[in-house]
Amino acid sequence: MNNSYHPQSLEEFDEIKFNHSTARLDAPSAYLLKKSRRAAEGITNLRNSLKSGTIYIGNLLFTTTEERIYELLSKVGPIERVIMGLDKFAHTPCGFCFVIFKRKEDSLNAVKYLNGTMLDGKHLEIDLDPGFTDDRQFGRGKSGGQAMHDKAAVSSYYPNNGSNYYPSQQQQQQQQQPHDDRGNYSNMDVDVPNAPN
Amino acid sequence: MSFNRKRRFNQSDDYGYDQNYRNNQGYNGNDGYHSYPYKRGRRELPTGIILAKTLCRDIFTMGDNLVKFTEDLEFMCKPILQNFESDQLFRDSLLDCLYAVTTEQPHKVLHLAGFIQAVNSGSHKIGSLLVEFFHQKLQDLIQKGTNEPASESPESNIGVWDTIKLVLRLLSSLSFIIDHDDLIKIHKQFLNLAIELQSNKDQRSPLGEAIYYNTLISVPYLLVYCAEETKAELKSKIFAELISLAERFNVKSSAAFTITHPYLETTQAAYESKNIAELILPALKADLENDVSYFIDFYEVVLPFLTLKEGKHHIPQLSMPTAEELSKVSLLQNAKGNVDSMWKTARFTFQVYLPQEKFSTTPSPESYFGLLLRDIQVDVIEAIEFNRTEVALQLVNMQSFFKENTFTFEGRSIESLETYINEKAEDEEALSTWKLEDTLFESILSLMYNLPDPSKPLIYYFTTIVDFFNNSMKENAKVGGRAIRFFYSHAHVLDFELRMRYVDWLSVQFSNFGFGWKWIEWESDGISQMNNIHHPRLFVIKSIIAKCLCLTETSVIEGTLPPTFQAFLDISLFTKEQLAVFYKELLDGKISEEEGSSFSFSKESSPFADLVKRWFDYYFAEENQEDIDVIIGDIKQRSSEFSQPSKVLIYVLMQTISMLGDRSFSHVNKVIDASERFLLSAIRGDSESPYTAEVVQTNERYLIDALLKSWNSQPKTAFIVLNYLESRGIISSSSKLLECVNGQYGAEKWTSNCFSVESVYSTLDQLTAGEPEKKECVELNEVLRVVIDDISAISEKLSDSEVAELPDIYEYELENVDKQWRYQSLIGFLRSALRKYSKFVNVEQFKEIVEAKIQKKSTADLIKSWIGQLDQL
Repeated sequence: MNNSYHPQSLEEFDEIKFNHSTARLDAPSAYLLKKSRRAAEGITNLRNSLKSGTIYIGNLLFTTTEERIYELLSKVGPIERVIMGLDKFAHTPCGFCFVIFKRKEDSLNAVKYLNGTMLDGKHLEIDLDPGFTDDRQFGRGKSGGQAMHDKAAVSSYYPNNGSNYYPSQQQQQQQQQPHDDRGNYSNMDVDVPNAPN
Repeated sequence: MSFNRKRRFNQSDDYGYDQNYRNNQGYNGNDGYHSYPYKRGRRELPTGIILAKTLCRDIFTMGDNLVKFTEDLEFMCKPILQNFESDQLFRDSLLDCLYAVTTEQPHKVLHLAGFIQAVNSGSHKIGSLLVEFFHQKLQDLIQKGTNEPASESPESNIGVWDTIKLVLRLLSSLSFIIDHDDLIKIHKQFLNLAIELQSNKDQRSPLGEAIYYNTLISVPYLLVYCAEETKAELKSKIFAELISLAERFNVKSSAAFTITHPYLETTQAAYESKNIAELILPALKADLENDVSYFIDFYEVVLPFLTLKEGKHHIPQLSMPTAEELSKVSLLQNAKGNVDSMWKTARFTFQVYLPQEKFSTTPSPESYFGLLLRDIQVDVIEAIEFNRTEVALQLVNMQSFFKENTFTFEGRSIESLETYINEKAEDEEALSTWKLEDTLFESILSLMYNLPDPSKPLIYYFTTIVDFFNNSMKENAKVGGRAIRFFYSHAHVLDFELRMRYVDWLSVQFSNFGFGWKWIEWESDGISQMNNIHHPRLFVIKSIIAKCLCLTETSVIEGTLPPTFQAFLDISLFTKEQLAVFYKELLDGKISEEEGSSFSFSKESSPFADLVKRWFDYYFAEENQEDIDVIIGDIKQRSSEFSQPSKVLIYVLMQTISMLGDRSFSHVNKVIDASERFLLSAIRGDSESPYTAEVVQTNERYLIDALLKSWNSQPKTAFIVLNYLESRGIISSSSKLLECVNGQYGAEKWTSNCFSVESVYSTLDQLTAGEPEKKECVELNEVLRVVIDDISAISEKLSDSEVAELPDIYEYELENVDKQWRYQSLIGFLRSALRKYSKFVNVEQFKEIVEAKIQKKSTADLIKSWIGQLDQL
């Protein structure tokens, strides 16, 4: 694994354009751009995310069902498959899912039209996705769920947003594993967080 | 955003930009500024791009504040005057930006024109280059429109011809610096083209009508930047050359074209829909004659910046195609998903906020300003489709782009307006009662309810409304509430398909606002019509609740409903009694009716209980104890002991599969995948002795019915699993459709259930998707035949007057009232299916069926009138 930091140009995604009077909502999110900039095949993943027909949905209630996601998302276009994100130990929903549309262009429409709207009382966080692969449906957090929930748990336990938290050597090693909350990019170089000074 | 001139330009160098931005490192002289290697920290961009970024940001937000606009005008001109000619990157970026504002924010066109004219005052040459740029754009767009426009072109959101309108509007607004005669000539060219296209007296030319309307609606922009002394002369030229020419355009009467009206052909319609192409010329003439302008007096505002040192610019006439050259595109058949595509059929006025007794909250749709305002709002909504939050913001800010007091203040209530009108002295000049929020909400709804199709996916309009509400919840909630109540009160005359869109909209709307609604207002309808399942208002209430149940927990919805509506939480397809009778008959009376009401093949009383348990064990036991083929073989064997062995086998298989996967539909899908060969064998027979096509269809319909019964209390999941069975090729679309409209559930009441109606539409949508050419769709024609049979059967049970007229919306006791509403819903579905899938209807065959089966004259005449309109779609 190469942990060195190699930010790279994202070519057309870095282009500054003036042909629209306002930003497009169906562009890859800042999160996706940041990740792609650091990954060896970031630009390929980014291009794939525009034509994969797949989206990632985060910030779901754990009790939100596939049927509810289907009911809302099918208003964008016919759905091929909904893959619920599961806790890797309990195999119960843990707050995210992937939706694969039958028509590729509908994934862009879903991001444009539904990102930030509500389902089950939660604001949906919808992002483009380069395409679902097996195992990505499982949470990557230590507890089995999403890593962000682990961080939130740490923040709530340790004052000062967890900034006083010094991870153990083992935990540091775990953090250096190439993963993100979406189980993405196994070949990705990650920006390793150092222990606070 | 405010323009911080100090930060941006005060410390500028000779070239007009900040010294800090002069660091040219990293710029290699090529224009591939985007290909710079990424570096941590601030990226080093060419100075032209940095300057353009700063300036364009201000241009994009230009006019949000009129005082700031005039303050900023001079300072915004400065960097252009200094860099436009020398820096190509800056020039290209600026031109892109000006074009983007012109085509995406048409309400800012007059501000933009003022800005360009102010630049022209500083440099005639740059002014000339800008005018040439837009003139060339117009020419390029005409060329694009003549050929078939690519679907992914930059203009695809609104369409090439609509973009031409907006560029022409900008050029018209530049009348201070462009020769009036040249502008008049260009308008005449467009009108002449429209007249030529519409020269065929018998057939409407969609493109001709679009060009005619688009040209006329931009004419008053010629006068905005016109000095008072030349205004009268220009106006007389407009009358003499443009209005008189426009009068030669022959607008085809659309009186007989009613199939795209949002309301049914009845005297109870909410208002009379009028063709906007018929309205534009009289409205324009009245506007010009009365000399009423709702535009800001820009001539006065921008005058300090306007000089004409070197005279006006002359622009050459455009190279126009002939009508013959446009023949391939004149029907706009390739225009899709944009404003151009709306011209395929005659466009009608759409109203939600009807005039009150003494005042109106929206300008009349028959007036020029009413037409223009709706035109601008529609263009904004369609053009910035890629950023719905920006759309909501632009619409709400639109007030500042018209003359002061054109609208009343934001959030003013109807009660306050009523009080004002009543208390106003008779001789006192009335202030405006128009509410901007009413007009823009009406515009979004007009697009959502556009027929035959909405130009963008419906969800776009739903969530734009959500954003519109989020911007100013307190003020806009009442505006939305009035629209919701309006459509509810007119649900009985609203087009059947629009009723479904209304239900869908409200489910998304309620989902985003905690499912709160004053259901109590509709309680009396819900109680009185409880037994009339086809009553349109009851359909709306039940469907909204059913749809909301698909979006959250039952307990959440339960908490919002009054006690009388709690019964609607049960969205089961079949009653317990129906299930009891069915299972008793299926199993040759081997179970009692009592057991049948909650029957499951896994229950101990079931003749298949032991076999189903073995199948469960096969799936869930830690070790597979036996071969699945043996278990299925035993089920098959036991099914043969019943009088309907194939049917019993299919019901056992499908119900057990549903039980095995009852955690979610993806679990069911997995079990279906694993059991596919058993299902196929049960439906189609073995490879050595396959069943006939007729038997296969019967078996497929058994399978569908078994699935609907298995997921009885969750019909939405049942229909999702049905889609999966269809996509796997286990059932055919034809069987699915027939079971929906004529099956055990569907035969009597499918039009009263939003899920079955939705399933029929979505199946037909998929069958007809991606078929640009006229082509018969067998499944559609089968559905139409069944619907005609149903209409025929039910109309026989009704008197002539009961068929010809809508029943009283408040009537609930008369014996036939539910039959009348059922008849109306079937007729409504037929109207929408003929319109929606007109290219796929076998018209001749359908005519024969209508002739043969429909006995009631009024019904036959109505259907025939729709058939006669199909060629105009």
